[in-house]
Amino acid sequence: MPDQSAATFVPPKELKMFPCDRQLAIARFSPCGNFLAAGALEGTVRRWSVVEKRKPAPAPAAAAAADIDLLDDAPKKAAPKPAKGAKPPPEESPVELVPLPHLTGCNGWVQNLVFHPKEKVLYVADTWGKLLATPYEGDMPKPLWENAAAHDGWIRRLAVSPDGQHLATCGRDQFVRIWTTAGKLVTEHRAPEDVFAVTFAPEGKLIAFADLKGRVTLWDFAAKKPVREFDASVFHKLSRLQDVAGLRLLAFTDGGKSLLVGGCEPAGGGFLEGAPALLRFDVATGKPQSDWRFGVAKDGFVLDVAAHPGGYLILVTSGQPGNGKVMFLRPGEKEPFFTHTALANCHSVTLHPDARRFAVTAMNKASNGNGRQLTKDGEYPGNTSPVHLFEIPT
Amino acid sequence: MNPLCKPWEHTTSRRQFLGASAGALAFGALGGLVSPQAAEALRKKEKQVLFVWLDGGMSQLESWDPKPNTEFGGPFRTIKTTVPGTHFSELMPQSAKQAHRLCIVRNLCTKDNAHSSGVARIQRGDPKNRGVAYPYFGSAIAKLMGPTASKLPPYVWVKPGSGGFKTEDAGFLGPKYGSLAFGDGKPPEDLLRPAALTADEDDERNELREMLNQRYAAQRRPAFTEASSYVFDTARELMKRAEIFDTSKMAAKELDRYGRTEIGQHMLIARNMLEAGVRFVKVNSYGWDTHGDNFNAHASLVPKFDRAFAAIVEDLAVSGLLEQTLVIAMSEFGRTPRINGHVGRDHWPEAWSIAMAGCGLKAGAVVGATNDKGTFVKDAGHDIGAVFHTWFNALGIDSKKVEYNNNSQPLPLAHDDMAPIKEALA
Repeated sequence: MPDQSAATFVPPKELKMFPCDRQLAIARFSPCGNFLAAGALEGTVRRWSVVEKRKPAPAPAAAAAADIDLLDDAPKKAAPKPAKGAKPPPEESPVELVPLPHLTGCNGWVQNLVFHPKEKVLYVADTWGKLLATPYEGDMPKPLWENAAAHDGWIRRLAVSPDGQHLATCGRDQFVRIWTTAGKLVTEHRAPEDVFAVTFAPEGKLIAFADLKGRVTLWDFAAKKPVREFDASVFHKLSRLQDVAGLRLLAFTDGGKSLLVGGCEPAGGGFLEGAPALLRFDVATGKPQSDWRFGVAKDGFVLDVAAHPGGYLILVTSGQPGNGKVMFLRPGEKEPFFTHTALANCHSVTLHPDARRFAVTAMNKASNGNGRQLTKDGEYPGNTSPVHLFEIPT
Repeated sequence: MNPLCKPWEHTTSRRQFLGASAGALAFGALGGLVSPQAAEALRKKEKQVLFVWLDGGMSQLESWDPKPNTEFGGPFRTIKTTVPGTHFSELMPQSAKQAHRLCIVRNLCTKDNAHSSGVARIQRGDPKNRGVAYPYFGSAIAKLMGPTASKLPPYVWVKPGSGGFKTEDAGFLGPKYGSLAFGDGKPPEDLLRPAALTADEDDERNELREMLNQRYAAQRRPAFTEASSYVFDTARELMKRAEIFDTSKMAAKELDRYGRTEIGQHMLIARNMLEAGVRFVKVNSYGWDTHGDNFNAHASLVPKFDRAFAAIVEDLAVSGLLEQTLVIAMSEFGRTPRINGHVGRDHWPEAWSIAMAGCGLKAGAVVGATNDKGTFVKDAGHDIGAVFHTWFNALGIDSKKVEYNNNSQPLPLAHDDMAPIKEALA
């Protein structure tokens, strides 16, 4: 497995950038590693087939992964063992992402998708309140089920339980809902505010959810009662008229002993200035353990996190147009041990099951701009989200 | 800075104003609202204006001109309004219920994409350059229509932040036509007579003030001293009606209906001012420059505006005041269809919307359109000059015939080459 000690650390290498003609909100590798799916700022899911031109190097040892366990992006336990004795990587990209037909049928934006941990099913949530399940293989798979009114409007976050039995959703309608993976509503809870994030604890019977004001609740959904609360109010600010929502993600680590809360500590609304922030709480006591800030006001949000079995987190940030970072962080350290700033506005990160590669959805350069910027053909161009595929050296 | 006055004159003016405020009259017996009889009298002939300014630029796509399920349409749904076939963003459920009273222009196409110049350019109507600073619309109305019979200040500005007398709005009209600003919705400090001061003592102070004023005026140009007296006299009328800006005594239901937010409470004060007879009330809301996280920002901002705006439109309609009140809600520009890397929208004067209601306008009208993606207007669109002509005509002022007289220099009220938007006028 990669030795990421300071003395021997070799930075990840970008293998290739794969263009996409739309902006993307989230991307995830399938547990089998053969597909990449991404939710677009339109009602589609973009898909790629992951084509290996060479066999990947061996996966990290499972024992080394024991100290971090992120459920929303935790393919490692289901990952197939790569072949031993792989050849060194050639200069040309050893992996290609081959576009597949889009999955349609959603509205607004697709900001959330999760793969079932064992079955070949993808769950998708849109900003108009639709939740659906669909096979992700094949050219034009038909949905297994869909609920067009799973929420009244924007579904903020979607999570799947580790055992694959339940889904959790939360939305702008203030509701947190638990579903079976067959689409049947199990229970629901109404929060006092817009709910921005939800995730399952590793044992699968508790969820954590967080609202606009930074109230994080550990909730027993079988008993329908709160277990513990965590104060993440640093992620909220009333700026003039605007309730600035900085909270974006929740993730359990350390086998469920710690809870990560990520997003932006807002300094002001409108332009939205604020520093990317990550808090780590002790789940047993509710007390904060760590408190990171990754930059200054222009740097914005921690928008996504992936846990590498090597014992570190891969974080991405997005701030004012052009500002984006990919960072490697060990939970016990104050600073990231690797920071990559060459990408613009990184919106999501997903780790391939082989733990050797990860993909980041970022933005085209110069995405901002007042005034009339037209193409040579006189068209008004939209921005796009290229997918950057990285390899972590052995 | 207004060219007619110097900084030290502002200092004196402010001291004079505050001194006068300290000697204000006791609360009048009229209360915050005019009586039904008085309101009826006002209704017969007095036209008024409510001007809501959303500073920074509200997104047309998240408000009046949504384009759902398009490349730049954003995450939100649309909702039906009371006008068949017209939809607003789902963030505006209350305004949707008032759509039959509104007049929406969806094809504004203006020239300035910068805040620093755009705010003034829009509020002055962007006329042809004749080497003078044109007045903001509020100052223009204060000049052209003056105070109502209520004798209250003709141009009042309810805004977050600081208050005072803002002469820069008036342009070449002179400081007399500036705005009296109520910072954070509150009257200027020391406006009300201190409890420790008796009425007799107050009268004595006023006599002293008058004497000092006359001495001061003898050494100044009339334009400025007239402005000082004018502001003082009109402000005194407002002082008599302290209940207008005291929301603490308003019913909880009213406060809730407008929203217990900055804009909600300011809009409620604006309603009271209009009911009391203020000619022109401007309400500002700041923080709409959503270059970052535009959609969560609008999810927070728009419903607060929507609630307050719909409530005041409904109240004015119910009281009958909407028939004589021109209501305007706008920004300096719209926001880009393109979504930037910070998930924000930038400045977009090319194709945006304005909402209006009330006197002289066609209720329930939707004027103009943008293309399917919302990127550009479908036809030539309307610049702000045409909008100014429309406003003047809605108020009964023929903007093609009436002119300003700037020291014998005739100046048109609005851009010479533009005309009212006929489809918007009743």
